[in-house]
Amino acid sequence: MIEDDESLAAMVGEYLTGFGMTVSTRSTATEGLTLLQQGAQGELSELGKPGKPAGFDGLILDVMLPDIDGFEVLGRIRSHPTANKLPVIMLTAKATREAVLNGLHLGADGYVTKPFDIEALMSAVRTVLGPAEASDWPKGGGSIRND
Amino acid sequence: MSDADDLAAALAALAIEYRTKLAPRLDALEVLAAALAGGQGDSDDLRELHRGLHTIAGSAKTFGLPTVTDAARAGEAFLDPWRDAATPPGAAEWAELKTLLAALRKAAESA
Repeated sequence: MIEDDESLAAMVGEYLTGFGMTVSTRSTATEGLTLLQQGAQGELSELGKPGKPAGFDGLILDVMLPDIDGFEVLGRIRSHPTANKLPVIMLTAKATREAVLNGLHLGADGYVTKPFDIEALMSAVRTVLGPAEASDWPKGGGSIRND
Repeated sequence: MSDADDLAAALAALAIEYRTKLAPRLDALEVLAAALAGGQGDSDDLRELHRGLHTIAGSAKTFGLPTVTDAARAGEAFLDPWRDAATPPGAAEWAELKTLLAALRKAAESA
């Protein structure tokens, strides 16, 4: 998750972790892209899927970040040779028609408008990742990484 | 305690932490706005002020503070046209923003 609001990132991380996911959070686009790049180069795991950085099943991406616009981040991911199929859910405070169309044009897989109900975000995660990665009930076992 | 209870407790703790951290966040925004109104700072500071309001607007309701989101959104919307404007806001605009920030503070304190 790339989100500059630490409190929000912590809440989402806690919630998704409760569903058995492992969540890595970064507060700037630069840090997030660096982490994804490491996955794309196979530094985190040897088990990467085609078009996805190793170690990542999806990305929750804020639009308004302190360094690089979230749409630009999405564009970079979609043009990356080994990370271009990473599912991306955009978090946006302004779901204007223009913003949604821009995101869809760039290849966003889902949209969640801030401020969101945490269940709404979970629903989007389930839709984008599918039931294999997102179960129906908290089961623990996940972890939050923000190293 | 079940996993669901553990999760609910963790989320409740985060909501309390959010409320605790909100006051100093508002302090910082008020200091920044006062500096800008006094002719200090630049367009980057104004964008930082806008982003600070945007961030609170985007998260407060998620933590159970809908009136804070509404008040922050009002401040953000007021600054929208000034975010990339060629000229900075004038005294009248800063006075209006000060009122909006006071409303935001009141919303946070009464939530």
